[in-house]
Amino acid sequence: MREQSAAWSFYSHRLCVRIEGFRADRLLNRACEAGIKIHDLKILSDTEAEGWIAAADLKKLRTIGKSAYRITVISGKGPRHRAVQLAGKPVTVVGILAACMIVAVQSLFVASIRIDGYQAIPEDSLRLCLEQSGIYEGVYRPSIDWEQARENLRTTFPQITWIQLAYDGRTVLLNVAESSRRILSQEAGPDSNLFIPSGEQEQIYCDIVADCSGYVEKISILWGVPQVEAGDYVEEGAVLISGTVPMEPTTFEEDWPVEYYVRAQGEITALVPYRITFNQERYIQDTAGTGENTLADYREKTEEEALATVKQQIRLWIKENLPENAEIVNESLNFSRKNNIIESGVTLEVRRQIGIEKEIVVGQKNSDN
Amino acid sequence: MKLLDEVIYDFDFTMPRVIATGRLVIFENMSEIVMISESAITVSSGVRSKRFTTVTGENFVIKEIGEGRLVIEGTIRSVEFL
Repeated sequence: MREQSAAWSFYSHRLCVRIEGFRADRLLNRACEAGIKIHDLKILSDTEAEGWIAAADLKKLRTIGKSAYRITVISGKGPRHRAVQLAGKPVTVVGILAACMIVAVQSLFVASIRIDGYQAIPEDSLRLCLEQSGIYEGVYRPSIDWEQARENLRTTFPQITWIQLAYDGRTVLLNVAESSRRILSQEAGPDSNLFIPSGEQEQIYCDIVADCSGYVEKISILWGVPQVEAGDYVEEGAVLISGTVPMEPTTFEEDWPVEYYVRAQGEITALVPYRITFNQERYIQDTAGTGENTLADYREKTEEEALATVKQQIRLWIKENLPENAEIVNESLNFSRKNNIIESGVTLEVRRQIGIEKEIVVGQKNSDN
Repeated sequence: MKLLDEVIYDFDFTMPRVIATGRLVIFENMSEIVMISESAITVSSGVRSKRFTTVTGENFVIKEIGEGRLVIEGTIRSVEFL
């Protein structure tokens, strides 16, 4: 026990001492008798030697050596020696304490959020839901109400059958398992409109297709995968936003589905050209005529009169054929006078929304086979 | 070795006992260091009839000393019993 204590004392705080004086062997013998352990003693010359002793033995060694030997401490080692050294450097101590405190304080804040196991629910939606529950990067971890966050997830996403919400170090881990059955909006909570279409539209998985041909000017997507981009010319019936979303597997399951379906939503503005032909009477009855309804009472329409008539026809046509949000960008008129009529060729360039929903029939491919 | 010789070898604390390898010498039953220098270390064994043992060589480092035991590391040239 005493041996162990001496060893601990030596290794916790040891000093390298230089012994100067004649007959170092005498000092060594006396040190041995006094129980002082000397390690790695080097004889440098007839009057000099260097060795390691426990710091606690230094005073004893100096007492034994009396004035015949000069004992000088050269260096030290060991944790206690380091602690003694540090005690003499308050700035370093403050720096180390500050660093420790920064690490300790940082460990109380969430650095990252990892989400696994989701299939049809987009990761962004899960992150948004967590954020609404007070879990986001940088939040003070003890302030998180984990049970409330789990409850919010269950309420917002009724298709989730299992939730693991935990933290590992500074990372919050969310692991979910989803049900494969379709969720009705009644089951979903009041906040679920963002994720599951509500009301009558809930069961529809659909694409957005073009209801007329035109040049796509602008496309903004809420749900789905865009199939065209600004500047493209699309034919009537072309898919603009697909409701079939490819899915990347996040686990090693073999029967992982390769796609899932959503109700595609978005706005597609396009420039649609229209070519219309209007006809109008070439001759009109002159009010200043004889009043007997003879040929002399009729005169040919002037340009202004023909233009006014065709403008009126255009307005009527727009009201009947174009949606309310349509905007005439360009208009071109061309008159040609035939026997009794004036034929007006009108070219309109209209800016309008061209997207309409078209339901996706899931499983049709398989049933056909 | 006879049994008596083995018992004497194990329990005789008056005789110097030296274990020497290429770079290490271990003295046991040492009573005191008689002389120490850069190239030679002489130790004595026994109380009444002293026996001296000298190790010569170079670059000696006394690794451990105490409790009748001395461990020396360095280039060993010779061990003499006087």
